[in-house]
Parts: sequence; structure tokens; C-alpha cells
Amino acid sequence: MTLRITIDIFSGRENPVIKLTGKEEKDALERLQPGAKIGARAVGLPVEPTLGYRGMIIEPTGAAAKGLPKMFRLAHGDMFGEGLANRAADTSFEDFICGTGGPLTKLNLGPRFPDFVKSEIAAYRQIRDKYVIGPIKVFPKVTPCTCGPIYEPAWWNDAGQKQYYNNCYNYGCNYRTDTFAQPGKAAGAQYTALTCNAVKAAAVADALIDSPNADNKCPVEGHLVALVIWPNADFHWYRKGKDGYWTHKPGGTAVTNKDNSGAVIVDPRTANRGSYTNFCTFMVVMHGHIKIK
Amino acid sequence: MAGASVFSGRPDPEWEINAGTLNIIREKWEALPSFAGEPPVPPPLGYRGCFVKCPPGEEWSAYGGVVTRKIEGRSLSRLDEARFIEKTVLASAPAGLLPEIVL
Repeated sequence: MTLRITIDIFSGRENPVIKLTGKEEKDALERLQPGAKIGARAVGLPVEPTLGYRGMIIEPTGAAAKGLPKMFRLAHGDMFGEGLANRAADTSFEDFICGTGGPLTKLNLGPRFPDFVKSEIAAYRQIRDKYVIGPIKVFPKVTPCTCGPIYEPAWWNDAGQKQYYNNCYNYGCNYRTDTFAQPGKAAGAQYTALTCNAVKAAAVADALIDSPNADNKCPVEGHLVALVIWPNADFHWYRKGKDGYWTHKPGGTAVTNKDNSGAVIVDPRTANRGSYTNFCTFMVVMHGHIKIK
Repeated sequence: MAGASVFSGRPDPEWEINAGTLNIIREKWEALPSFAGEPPVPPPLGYRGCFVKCPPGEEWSAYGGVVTRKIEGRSLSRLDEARFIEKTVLASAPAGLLPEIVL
């Protein structure tokens, strides 16, 4: 069994991940046993993810993890997850991880990295102090979109023709072509640069409608998509579904409703997008109007 | 043929791999210990691993310190903590083909 601890701190780079097994895992799980409940009026988590340290994402496995959800977040000794809003038994768990000789030092990220993380932890405390908990919800409230496509990953994820030959653009437009569609190609105006402006213009040529002020709200007709860019490397699309949540299909891989932190996506602007750091715009897909290739 | 699973919109990059590099991979494979656990799961976006395909049916894939070799319908995984095979495959790509990948 492995206890996986992700230091949720970066935006573009991959977050450092600590994996504990055996005695170290057992010790850490004892420190993470739920203590006092976090009540109303206590300090919560920011309503939108922020840049810099955002806590530790902890994924316990096995019988020893009884009482803990499959994934939860810890910050300053507070633990939040499904059915979990408690202080950790060791409220200085972050000091244990980042301290001298602690598990973080074994990742060999440089002698100054643990101190850097500690300073980020302190800065995050100041951010958290602004957010007082109200009623605790498992998932953020979202508004369903009457015209949005349904979330049906099984249809796309056939480990065959549909999955391998349709990409994020196909999925975002809810339009299977089996050609790994490229923005603008159907209109003879394929993008020539991997920038927001170039890919957006190409999508407009395919009859997607640029809606920069959509602000994550369901359109009256059609469905909402979002364009993001990995600068000079790639583009990616998300789509807002009938249930109001966002989903995506990274290339030939499976459709998913999770971001790079494993969190359900309520807003692609604030989701963990890995290297796709540039949020370009929202666009509207009018069913039956667009053509992609 | 080698390649990397890295993009979402653009097709993933693929390139020819030479016999010398393939021999290095095979030699390293022979020295790796067996791995029977859960392979690491890559995130949805960004780098998700690399692969080498050798006709008539041998295939290698590598991500996060685990290398899997498939041949004649059978699959075997080994632990490559230093990610030697993964780094060797990625280093064999032509200059400029891959974006910066942080392992």
C-alpha cells in the first residue's frame, strides 16, 4: 500500500509527489487520523484556487486508511474531503513533511526547496484567513445547462476508433469525425500558430462563436466550450455539459471530468490545467451549424 | 517507431528510432527488477508517457518509473526508478519535436 502526498503548489510544472510505504506510511496515517470537527465560522479554503501553495492532496489506500476518504486536501492541519472536515491528529503535519529530514527532502528538489514550501505554506495561511466556512458541500453548486451535451464517457472511451481518432476538439464540439479534428481545417483555415488568437480564429472559421464574456454561464442555445493553450506547443478544449460541470478529452486518451489535481471541473479558468497555462476564451457551439474536420 | 503521449489537440509526436537505441533499451530492460504493483497514473493533461513499437508485435511503454513490454499478447512490467528507458526514448526524438517535458 502507498500513501501518496501531492504538494499542490505549481501551475505549469508538475507538482512534487511523495509516496510513503511501510513504516513511514503507517506513521503518516496515524498523524492524519481525524480529530476535532471543523465547525461553521472556522477558516475554510478559498472559493477559487490560487497561485502558489494550495495545500497537500492526500490519497491513502488500504485498511490502515479507514476513516479517511480516497482523496482529501490538508492545509495547516485542517483536512477537507468527502465526509471529512476535521483537524488532523498531528496539526503540524506540514512541518513533519517539510522539516529537516522529512519526506520532502528525499525528493532531491534542492536544499532550498523545503524552506521555499514552508514560506508558501505561511503565505497560504494569510489567504485562507479571508475565507470563513459556511455550509460544507461535497461539490460546488453549479447550474445545469438545458442545451448542454450529456456526460457519457463510455460512448467515447471505447479503446478503439472513437477514442483514438477523436481529440479534445471533437469532444468539445460533441462532433465525432474520426480525423483527430484540427480547428479551421474544415474551412480551409487551419491555425498556423499555437496561440490563443490563431486557434480561436480557426475555430471561428469552423463556425464556433467567440463568447469571451460568457463567464462560465450556460448559453441560451448551443453549449459552452473553453479554449486553453500550452504556449507554442498545443491547444485544448473543454465543454460544459447538461449537468453544468465541465469535461474534456485529452487527445486520444479517455474522456474525463477531472482536472490534473483529480478534482471535478466546475470552471476551466481555475482548474488544474498542467502546462496549458493560457486561458483564451469561452466559445459557443451551435449544434448543426459547425463543421469540423 | 517511438512516440510520446503528450498533446491533446495536436496529434502526438512520433519518430523513427534507430537500432542502436533499441539495443540500449533491450539491454537495460534485462537488468530491471520485476514490477507487480499498480503502475503510476499520469494526469489527464500534459505528458503521459512514451512508447516504442517494433514490428511484428513488440511494444514498450514507459511512464513514472514503470516500463511495460508487450509481446505475443503477453504483458510484463519492470521497475525503472531512474527512468532510464523513458529518458532514452525521449532523448531519441529529433530536436524540437517534443515540448519541454519535466520528468
